[in-house]
Amino acid sequence: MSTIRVSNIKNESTSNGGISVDSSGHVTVDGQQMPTAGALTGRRLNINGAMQVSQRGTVNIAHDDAITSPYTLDRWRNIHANLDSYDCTVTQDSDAPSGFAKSLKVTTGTTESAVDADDILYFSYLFEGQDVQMLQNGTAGAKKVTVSFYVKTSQPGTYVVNLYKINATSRTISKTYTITTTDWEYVELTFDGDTAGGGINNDTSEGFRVSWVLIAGSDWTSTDSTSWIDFVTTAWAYGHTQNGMATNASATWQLSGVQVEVGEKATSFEHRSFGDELARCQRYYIDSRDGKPSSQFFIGQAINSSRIAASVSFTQPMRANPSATIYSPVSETAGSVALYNNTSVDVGSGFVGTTARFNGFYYVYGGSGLTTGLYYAFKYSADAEV
Amino acid sequence: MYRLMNDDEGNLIGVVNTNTWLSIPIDTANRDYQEYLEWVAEGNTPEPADSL
Repeated sequence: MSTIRVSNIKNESTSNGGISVDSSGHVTVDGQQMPTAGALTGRRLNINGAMQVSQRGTVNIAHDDAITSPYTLDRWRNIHANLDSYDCTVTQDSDAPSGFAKSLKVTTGTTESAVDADDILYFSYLFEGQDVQMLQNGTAGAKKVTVSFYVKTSQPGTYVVNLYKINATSRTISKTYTITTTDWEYVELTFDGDTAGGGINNDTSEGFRVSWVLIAGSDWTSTDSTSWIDFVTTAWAYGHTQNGMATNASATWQLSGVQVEVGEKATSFEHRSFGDELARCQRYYIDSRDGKPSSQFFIGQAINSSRIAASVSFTQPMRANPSATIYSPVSETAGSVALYNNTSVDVGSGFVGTTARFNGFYYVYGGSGLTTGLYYAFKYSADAEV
Repeated sequence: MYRLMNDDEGNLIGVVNTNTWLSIPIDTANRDYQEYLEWVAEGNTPEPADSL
Protein backbone atom coordinates (compact mmCIF):
# COMPACT_ATOMS: atom_id res chain seq x y z
CA MET A 1 0.00 0.00 0.00
CA SER A 2 1.33 3.43 -0.90
CA THR A 3 1.01 6.63 1.16
CA ILE A 4 0.22 10.13 -0.07
CA ARG A 5 2.18 12.62 2.02
CA VAL A 6 0.62 16.08 1.93
CA SER A 7 -0.18 18.79 4.42
CA ASN A 8 -3.29 20.18 2.72
CA ILE A 9 -5.99 19.10 0.31
CA LYS A 10 -8.14 21.90 -1.13
CA ASN A 11 -10.48 22.59 -3.99
CA GLU A 12 -8.53 24.08 -6.88
CA SER A 13 -10.78 27.16 -7.02
CA THR A 14 -10.54 28.25 -3.37
CA SER A 15 -8.10 28.47 -0.54
CA ASN A 16 -10.88 28.02 2.00
CA GLY A 17 -11.76 24.83 3.82
CA GLY A 18 -10.27 21.56 2.77
CA ILE A 19 -8.32 19.04 4.79
CA SER A 20 -5.17 19.84 6.72
CA VAL A 21 -2.78 17.42 8.35
CA ASP A 22 -0.34 18.80 10.91
CA SER A 23 3.17 17.52 11.62
CA SER A 24 1.80 15.13 14.24
CA GLY A 25 -0.69 13.67 11.79
CA HIS A 26 -3.74 15.31 13.36
CA VAL A 27 -6.48 16.28 10.93
CA THR A 28 -8.58 19.40 10.47
CA VAL A 29 -11.54 19.26 8.07
CA ASP A 30 -12.95 22.56 6.84
CA GLY A 31 -11.46 24.25 9.90
CA GLN A 32 -12.84 21.73 12.37
CA GLN A 33 -10.31 19.83 14.45
CA MET A 34 -10.92 16.08 14.30
CA PRO A 35 -10.52 14.06 17.50
CA THR A 36 -7.11 12.55 18.17
CA ALA A 37 -8.61 9.88 20.42
CA GLY A 38 -12.04 8.53 21.22
CA ALA A 39 -15.32 8.82 19.38
CA LEU A 40 -16.73 11.64 17.25
CA THR A 41 -19.70 12.21 19.55
CA GLY A 42 -20.02 12.29 23.31
CA ARG A 43 -16.63 13.92 23.47
CA ARG A 44 -17.42 16.43 26.21
CA LEU A 45 -16.96 14.55 29.47
CA ASN A 46 -18.18 17.38 31.72
CA ILE A 47 -21.76 18.51 32.26
CA ASN A 48 -22.92 22.13 32.10
CA GLY A 49 -19.85 23.37 30.28
CA ALA A 50 -21.93 26.13 28.68
CA MET A 51 -23.18 27.19 32.13
CA GLN A 52 -26.81 26.75 31.06
CA VAL A 53 -28.03 25.31 34.37
CA SER A 54 -28.03 27.22 37.65
CA GLN A 55 -30.55 25.59 39.98
CA ARG A 56 -29.07 27.22 43.09
CA GLY A 57 -29.14 30.76 41.69
CA THR A 58 -26.71 33.35 43.02
CA VAL A 59 -24.28 31.96 45.59
CA ASN A 60 -22.53 34.29 48.02
CA ILE A 61 -19.11 33.18 49.16
CA ALA A 62 -17.46 34.62 52.25
CA HIS A 63 -14.10 34.12 53.90
CA ASP A 64 -15.71 32.87 57.10
CA ASP A 65 -18.21 30.44 55.53
CA ALA A 66 -18.97 27.37 57.61
CA ILE A 67 -19.00 25.44 54.35
CA THR A 68 -15.81 26.17 52.46
CA SER A 69 -16.67 24.16 49.37
CA PRO A 70 -20.13 25.20 48.16
CA TYR A 71 -21.53 24.32 44.77
CA THR A 72 -22.46 27.29 42.61
CA LEU A 73 -23.77 26.82 39.06
CA ASP A 74 -24.64 23.16 38.65
CA ARG A 75 -21.60 20.87 38.89
CA TRP A 76 -19.25 23.82 39.57
CA ARG A 77 -17.80 23.78 43.05
CA ASN A 78 -16.00 26.63 44.77
CA ILE A 79 -13.30 25.77 47.29
CA HIS A 80 -11.61 28.40 49.44
CA ALA A 81 -9.55 28.54 52.60
CA ASN A 82 -7.66 30.89 54.90
CA LEU A 83 -9.03 34.14 53.44
CA ASP A 84 -9.29 36.93 56.01
CA SER A 85 -11.91 39.31 54.67
CA TYR A 86 -12.64 38.33 51.06
CA ASP A 87 -16.11 37.69 49.78
CA CYS A 88 -17.62 37.37 46.33
CA THR A 89 -20.76 36.39 44.49
CA VAL A 90 -21.07 33.68 41.88
CA THR A 91 -23.78 34.24 39.31
CA GLN A 92 -25.03 32.90 36.01
CA ASP A 93 -24.45 35.80 33.62
CA SER A 94 -25.72 36.52 30.12
CA ASP A 95 -22.38 37.94 29.04
CA ALA A 96 -20.91 34.99 27.16
CA PRO A 97 -18.49 34.26 24.32
CA SER A 98 -19.78 34.09 20.76
CA GLY A 99 -21.95 31.02 20.30
CA PHE A 100 -22.82 30.76 23.99
CA ALA A 101 -25.58 32.35 26.03
CA LYS A 102 -24.38 32.06 29.63
CA SER A 103 -21.27 32.18 31.75
CA LEU A 104 -20.25 31.57 35.34
CA LYS A 105 -19.30 34.96 36.77
CA VAL A 106 -17.35 35.67 39.95
CA THR A 107 -17.50 39.23 41.28
CA THR A 108 -15.35 40.32 44.18
CA GLY A 109 -17.07 42.17 47.02
CA THR A 110 -14.92 42.76 50.06
CA THR A 111 -11.24 42.39 49.23
CA GLU A 112 -8.23 40.95 50.98
CA SER A 113 -5.85 43.70 52.04
CA ALA A 114 -3.06 41.38 50.92
CA VAL A 115 -2.82 37.79 49.76
CA ASP A 116 -1.26 35.70 52.52
CA ALA A 117 0.87 32.68 51.79
CA ASP A 118 -1.89 30.24 52.76
CA ASP A 119 -4.77 31.92 50.88
CA ILE A 120 -6.49 29.85 48.21
CA LEU A 121 -9.66 30.02 46.11
CA TYR A 122 -10.51 27.95 43.06
CA PHE A 123 -13.38 26.39 41.12
CA SER A 124 -13.50 22.68 40.42
CA TYR A 125 -15.39 20.19 38.31
CA LEU A 126 -15.47 16.76 39.95
CA PHE A 127 -16.03 13.61 37.89
CA GLU A 128 -17.33 10.33 39.19
CA GLY A 129 -14.66 7.66 38.86
CA GLN A 130 -16.92 5.46 36.75
CA ASP A 131 -17.24 8.23 34.15
CA VAL A 132 -13.52 8.59 33.47
CA GLN A 133 -12.38 5.00 33.09
CA MET A 134 -11.57 5.69 29.43
CA LEU A 135 -8.64 7.83 30.58
CA GLN A 136 -6.85 4.58 31.53
CA ASN A 137 -5.25 6.56 34.33
CA GLY A 138 -2.47 4.69 36.09
CA THR A 139 -1.73 2.38 33.15
CA ALA A 140 0.80 2.39 30.34
CA GLY A 141 -2.01 3.39 28.00
CA ALA A 142 -3.05 6.49 29.93
CA LYS A 143 -4.70 9.02 27.63
CA LYS A 144 -3.94 12.66 27.22
CA VAL A 145 -6.66 15.06 28.34
CA THR A 146 -7.44 18.38 26.71
CA VAL A 147 -9.30 21.13 28.56
CA SER A 148 -10.64 23.98 26.45
CA PHE A 149 -12.62 26.97 27.68
CA TYR A 150 -13.44 30.63 27.26
CA VAL A 151 -12.40 33.00 30.02
CA LYS A 152 -12.84 36.72 30.61
CA THR A 153 -11.50 38.74 33.50
CA SER A 154 -10.90 42.28 34.62
CA GLN A 155 -7.57 41.02 35.97
CA PRO A 156 -5.43 39.86 33.03
CA GLY A 157 -2.44 37.78 33.98
CA THR A 158 -1.27 34.24 34.53
CA TYR A 159 -3.60 31.68 36.07
CA VAL A 160 -3.49 27.92 36.61
CA VAL A 161 -5.63 24.94 35.65
CA ASN A 162 -4.78 21.66 37.30
CA LEU A 163 -5.88 18.04 37.18
CA TYR A 164 -6.15 15.97 40.35
CA LYS A 165 -6.69 12.27 40.92
CA ILE A 166 -7.54 11.18 44.46
CA ASN A 167 -7.63 7.34 44.43
CA ALA A 168 -4.67 5.17 45.44
CA THR A 169 -1.77 7.62 45.32
CA SER A 170 -3.17 11.13 44.92
CA ARG A 171 -1.62 12.79 41.88
CA THR A 172 -1.69 16.20 40.24
CA ILE A 173 -0.48 18.12 37.21
CA SER A 174 -0.91 21.79 36.38
CA LYS A 175 -0.59 24.21 33.48
CA THR A 176 -0.66 27.97 33.30
CA TYR A 177 -2.53 30.18 30.89
CA THR A 178 -2.06 33.89 30.42
CA ILE A 179 -4.90 36.30 29.76
CA THR A 180 -3.80 39.45 27.97
CA THR A 181 -7.05 41.38 27.49
CA THR A 182 -10.26 42.08 29.37
CA ASP A 183 -12.38 40.44 26.65
CA TRP A 184 -13.27 36.79 26.10
CA GLU A 185 -10.26 34.64 25.32
CA TYR A 186 -10.14 30.99 24.25
CA VAL A 187 -7.74 28.64 26.01
CA GLU A 188 -6.67 25.09 25.13
CA LEU A 189 -4.56 23.08 27.56
CA THR A 190 -3.44 19.51 26.88
CA PHE A 191 -2.21 17.35 29.76
CA ASP A 192 -0.27 14.13 29.49
CA GLY A 193 -1.88 10.92 30.68
CA ASP A 194 -0.72 9.67 34.06
CA THR A 195 0.81 6.20 33.88
CA ALA A 196 1.50 6.00 37.62
CA GLY A 197 -0.40 6.40 40.85
CA GLY A 198 -2.63 3.35 40.88
CA GLY A 199 -5.52 4.42 38.68
CA ILE A 200 -9.08 5.61 39.29
CA ASN A 201 -11.71 3.54 41.11
CA ASN A 202 -14.67 2.48 38.99
CA ASP A 203 -17.38 3.82 41.29
CA THR A 204 -19.59 6.84 42.00
CA SER A 205 -17.10 8.67 44.20
CA GLU A 206 -14.74 11.39 43.06
CA GLY A 207 -12.30 9.99 40.55
CA PHE A 208 -10.94 12.99 38.70
CA ARG A 209 -11.00 16.74 39.19
CA VAL A 210 -10.25 19.76 37.01
CA SER A 211 -9.70 23.07 38.81
CA TRP A 212 -9.36 26.73 37.86
CA VAL A 213 -7.31 28.71 40.39
CA LEU A 214 -8.27 32.34 41.00
CA ILE A 215 -6.35 33.15 44.18
CA ALA A 216 -3.26 31.40 45.51
CA GLY A 217 -0.68 32.45 48.06
CA SER A 218 2.91 31.27 47.95
CA ASP A 219 2.22 28.15 50.01
CA TRP A 220 0.35 26.77 46.99
CA THR A 221 2.78 27.65 44.21
CA SER A 222 6.25 26.42 45.16
CA THR A 223 6.39 22.86 43.81
CA ASP A 224 6.76 22.21 40.08
CA SER A 225 3.73 20.25 38.88
CA THR A 226 4.11 20.71 35.15
CA SER A 227 4.40 16.91 34.97
CA TRP A 228 2.33 14.43 36.98
CA ILE A 229 3.59 14.21 40.58
CA ASP A 230 2.34 12.78 43.84
CA PHE A 231 0.01 15.37 45.28
CA VAL A 232 1.32 18.02 47.63
CA THR A 233 -0.55 21.22 48.39
CA THR A 234 2.45 23.31 47.35
CA ALA A 235 1.97 22.08 43.77
CA TRP A 236 -1.68 23.04 43.47
CA ALA A 237 -1.15 26.39 41.75
CA TYR A 238 2.39 26.21 40.42
CA GLY A 239 3.02 29.23 38.20
CA HIS A 240 -0.06 31.19 39.30
CA THR A 241 0.79 34.87 39.69
CA GLN A 242 -2.37 36.93 39.24
CA ASN A 243 -4.21 37.48 42.52
CA GLY A 244 -6.06 40.60 41.47
CA MET A 245 -9.39 38.91 42.11
CA ALA A 246 -8.54 39.00 45.82
CA THR A 247 -7.34 42.57 46.13
CA ASN A 248 -9.53 44.55 43.73
CA ALA A 249 -13.11 45.38 44.64
CA SER A 250 -15.61 44.51 41.87
CA ALA A 251 -12.99 42.44 40.03
CA THR A 252 -14.60 39.84 37.77
CA TRP A 253 -13.68 36.45 36.33
CA GLN A 254 -15.95 34.57 33.93
CA LEU A 255 -15.89 31.08 32.49
CA SER A 256 -17.89 29.32 29.78
CA GLY A 257 -17.59 26.82 26.94
CA VAL A 258 -15.68 24.35 29.09
CA GLN A 259 -14.92 21.07 27.38
CA VAL A 260 -12.86 18.33 28.99
CA GLU A 261 -12.09 15.60 26.46
CA VAL A 262 -9.79 12.71 25.75
CA GLY A 263 -7.01 13.39 23.28
CA GLU A 264 -4.35 15.96 22.58
CA LYS A 265 -6.40 18.42 20.53
CA ALA A 266 -9.43 20.47 21.49
CA THR A 267 -12.39 19.80 19.23
CA SER A 268 -15.36 22.11 18.77
CA PHE A 269 -17.52 22.52 21.85
CA GLU A 270 -20.20 19.86 21.92
CA HIS A 271 -23.44 21.75 22.52
CA ARG A 272 -26.38 20.00 24.19
CA SER A 273 -29.96 21.09 24.78
CA PHE A 274 -30.96 22.68 28.08
CA GLY A 275 -33.17 19.69 28.84
CA ASP A 276 -30.31 17.30 28.29
CA GLU A 277 -27.97 19.28 30.52
CA LEU A 278 -30.62 19.75 33.23
CA ALA A 279 -31.34 16.02 33.37
CA ARG A 280 -27.64 15.28 33.70
CA CYS A 281 -27.27 17.91 36.44
CA GLN A 282 -30.19 16.46 38.39
CA ARG A 283 -28.24 13.30 39.00
CA TYR A 284 -26.42 15.52 41.51
CA TYR A 285 -28.87 18.19 42.65
CA ILE A 286 -32.57 18.97 42.31
CA ASP A 287 -34.62 21.78 43.80
CA SER A 288 -38.41 22.12 43.52
CA ARG A 289 -38.70 25.63 44.96
CA ASP A 290 -40.14 28.56 42.98
CA GLY A 291 -38.08 29.81 40.09
CA LYS A 292 -36.25 26.52 39.64
CA PRO A 293 -36.43 24.48 36.43
CA SER A 294 -38.21 21.68 38.33
CA SER A 295 -40.43 23.90 40.46
CA GLN A 296 -43.50 22.14 41.85
CA PHE A 297 -44.99 21.15 45.19
CA PHE A 298 -45.77 17.71 46.50
CA ILE A 299 -48.63 16.38 48.59
CA GLY A 300 -48.85 13.83 51.35
CA GLN A 301 -51.31 12.73 54.03
CA ALA A 302 -50.68 13.08 57.75
CA ILE A 303 -50.79 9.70 59.46
CA ASN A 304 -50.26 11.26 62.88
CA SER A 305 -49.36 14.66 64.31
CA SER A 306 -45.75 14.50 63.20
CA ARG A 307 -45.55 12.37 60.09
CA ILE A 308 -46.70 12.79 56.48
CA ALA A 309 -46.77 9.78 54.18
CA ALA A 310 -45.66 11.04 50.78
CA SER A 311 -44.08 9.26 47.87
CA VAL A 312 -41.57 11.48 46.10
CA SER A 313 -39.57 10.18 43.14
CA PHE A 314 -36.61 12.18 41.89
CA THR A 315 -36.62 13.05 38.20
CA GLN A 316 -33.26 11.27 37.87
CA PRO A 317 -31.76 8.49 39.95
CA MET A 318 -29.16 10.38 41.95
CA ARG A 319 -25.47 9.63 42.25
CA ALA A 320 -25.76 8.60 45.90
CA ASN A 321 -28.33 8.78 48.65
CA PRO A 322 -28.81 12.56 48.83
CA SER A 323 -29.19 14.98 51.68
CA ALA A 324 -32.66 16.52 51.54
CA THR A 325 -34.43 19.59 52.87
CA ILE A 326 -38.21 20.08 53.13
CA TYR A 327 -39.67 23.56 52.53
CA SER A 328 -43.08 25.09 53.06
CA PRO A 329 -44.64 26.03 49.69
CA VAL A 330 -45.88 29.24 51.36
CA SER A 331 -42.71 30.89 52.62
CA GLU A 332 -40.20 28.26 51.48
CA THR A 333 -38.99 28.11 55.07
CA ALA A 334 -36.82 25.05 55.64
CA GLY A 335 -38.46 22.52 57.93
CA SER A 336 -42.05 23.75 57.48
CA VAL A 337 -44.97 22.43 55.42
CA ALA A 338 -48.43 23.85 54.59
CA LEU A 339 -51.98 22.56 54.61
CA TYR A 340 -53.05 21.52 51.12
CA ASN A 341 -55.80 23.74 49.63
CA ASN A 342 -54.99 26.34 52.24
CA THR A 343 -51.44 27.05 51.34
CA SER A 344 -51.25 30.49 52.93
CA VAL A 345 -49.83 29.58 56.34
CA ASP A 346 -46.75 27.60 57.27
CA VAL A 347 -47.37 24.58 59.47
CA GLY A 348 -44.89 23.36 62.04
CA SER A 349 -41.13 23.42 62.02
CA GLY A 350 -38.39 20.86 62.09
CA PHE A 351 -39.84 18.64 59.38
CA VAL A 352 -37.34 16.65 57.38
CA GLY A 353 -37.54 14.06 54.66
CA THR A 354 -36.79 10.57 55.80
CA THR A 355 -33.32 9.62 54.70
CA ALA A 356 -33.71 9.71 50.98
CA ARG A 357 -32.79 6.84 48.73
CA PHE A 358 -31.03 7.63 45.48
CA ASN A 359 -34.39 7.59 43.71
CA GLY A 360 -36.72 9.29 46.21
CA PHE A 361 -38.20 9.36 49.71
CA TYR A 362 -41.49 8.36 51.28
CA TYR A 363 -42.02 10.20 54.59
CA VAL A 364 -41.85 13.74 55.89
CA TYR A 365 -41.58 13.78 59.67
CA GLY A 366 -40.04 15.33 62.73
CA GLY A 367 -42.16 18.42 63.29
CA SER A 368 -45.52 18.69 65.03
CA GLY A 369 -48.98 20.20 64.64
CA LEU A 370 -50.34 18.01 61.87
CA THR A 371 -53.93 16.79 61.87
CA THR A 372 -54.24 13.10 61.11
CA GLY A 373 -55.92 12.45 57.77
CA LEU A 374 -55.41 15.91 56.31
CA TYR A 375 -53.23 16.51 53.29
CA TYR A 376 -50.14 18.70 53.42
CA ALA A 377 -47.99 20.30 50.74
CA PHE A 378 -44.23 20.77 50.67
CA LYS A 379 -41.26 21.33 48.39
CA TYR A 380 -37.78 19.89 48.66
CA SER A 381 -34.18 20.03 47.53
CA ALA A 382 -31.88 17.04 47.34
CA ASP A 383 -28.10 17.11 47.03
CA ALA A 384 -25.89 14.21 45.97
CA GLU A 385 -23.01 16.24 44.56
CA VAL A 386 -19.60 14.64 44.46
CA MET B 1 -26.36 20.84 65.68
CA TYR B 2 -26.94 17.23 64.65
CA ARG B 3 -29.64 14.80 65.78
CA LEU B 4 -29.71 11.11 65.01
CA MET B 5 -32.65 9.69 63.03
CA ASN B 6 -34.02 6.20 63.68
CA ASP B 7 -36.65 4.17 61.90
CA ASP B 8 -39.64 2.56 63.64
CA GLU B 9 -37.52 -0.37 64.73
CA GLY B 10 -34.92 1.89 66.30
CA ASN B 11 -32.36 1.40 63.55
CA LEU B 12 -30.18 4.40 62.78
CA ILE B 13 -31.05 5.59 59.26
CA GLY B 14 -29.72 9.11 59.15
CA VAL B 15 -28.72 12.35 60.81
CA VAL B 16 -30.53 15.70 60.89
CA ASN B 17 -28.73 19.03 60.86
CA THR B 18 -30.98 20.94 63.23
CA ASN B 19 -29.70 24.32 62.06
CA THR B 20 -30.80 23.82 58.48
CA TRP B 21 -33.23 20.87 58.77
CA LEU B 22 -31.15 18.94 56.33
CA SER B 23 -31.66 15.18 56.54
CA ILE B 24 -28.44 13.32 55.87
CA PRO B 25 -28.19 9.65 54.94
CA ILE B 26 -25.74 7.17 56.44
CA ASP B 27 -23.73 7.07 53.24
CA THR B 28 -20.02 7.74 53.08
CA ALA B 29 -20.45 8.91 49.49
CA ASN B 30 -22.58 11.81 50.75
CA ARG B 31 -20.65 15.06 51.35
CA ASP B 32 -22.87 16.11 54.25
CA TYR B 33 -22.38 12.77 55.96
CA GLN B 34 -18.63 13.17 55.51
CA GLU B 35 -18.85 16.57 57.23
CA TYR B 36 -20.91 15.01 60.03
CA LEU B 37 -18.24 12.35 60.56
CA GLU B 38 -15.60 15.08 60.76
CA TRP B 39 -17.74 16.90 63.32
CA VAL B 40 -17.96 13.74 65.43
CA ALA B 41 -14.23 13.15 65.03
CA GLU B 42 -13.65 16.59 66.55
CA GLY B 43 -15.22 15.26 69.74
CA ASN B 44 -18.80 16.41 69.28
CA THR B 45 -21.86 14.30 70.14
CA PRO B 46 -25.20 14.35 68.29
CA GLU B 47 -28.55 14.60 70.04
CA PRO B 48 -30.37 11.28 70.51
CA ALA B 49 -32.89 10.20 67.92
CA ASP B 50 -36.61 10.74 67.69
CA SER B 51 -38.19 7.64 66.21
CA LEU B 52 -40.17 7.89 62.99
